[in-house]
Amino acid sequence: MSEHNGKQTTSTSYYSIKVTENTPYIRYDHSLYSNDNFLLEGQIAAGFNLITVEIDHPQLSPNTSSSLGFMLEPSLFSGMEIQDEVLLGLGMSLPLDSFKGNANWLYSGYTLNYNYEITKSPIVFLIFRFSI
Amino acid sequence: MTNINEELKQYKNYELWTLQDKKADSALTEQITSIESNKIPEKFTSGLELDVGVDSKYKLSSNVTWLSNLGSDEVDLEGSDIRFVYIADHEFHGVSV
Repeated sequence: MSEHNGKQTTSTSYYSIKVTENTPYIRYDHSLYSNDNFLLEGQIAAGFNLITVEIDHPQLSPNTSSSLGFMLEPSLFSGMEIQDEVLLGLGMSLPLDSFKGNANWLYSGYTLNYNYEITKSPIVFLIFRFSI
Repeated sequence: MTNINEELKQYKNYELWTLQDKKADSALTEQITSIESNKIPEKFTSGLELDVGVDSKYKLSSNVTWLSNLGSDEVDLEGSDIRFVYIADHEFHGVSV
């Protein structure tokens, strides 16, 4: 689950963009190194990404569009045991998916097209893992 | 007769030593096995995980047209990620959102 916001300014106004994602996925973890209290893992996650993009402009009605995409994300995790059966660690993920879309408005009798492409940067995660 | 008794004693001792050796061997094996099972991955055969994305960024490239091309731009989208992971099995982790 993630939410990202930004504002794109133009010479006279601005577009505000909000991207919400819900991502069910499965992940394969492979232990690269481990000892009594330290763990290094390589991970690969794959799944679906339900993306909702909301674009607002002060002079236009809000535009919302949803799409379904595929996600693929390799990552590296290192953690250490802070209590018995509790791991605290850091992960670095490299999302490989990107998505395109467009929003349309009728403005002064002509269609205004806003075409966009969103690419993701590597993400650092703070990770808590509990054994059950 | 004394000789026979002495020989029997020695044989009994031999059996005892052999048994002790075997015991020592199996104890060592058990110890090694228990060290293996204390490794972190073995403890997390099933569990829950909470991942919190720190200051993640997306890059949005846009192009606006109205009557003619009004221009292209790039902007950073900033936000947060939160994930819940159910660890279903060793190394193969379950559904997450």
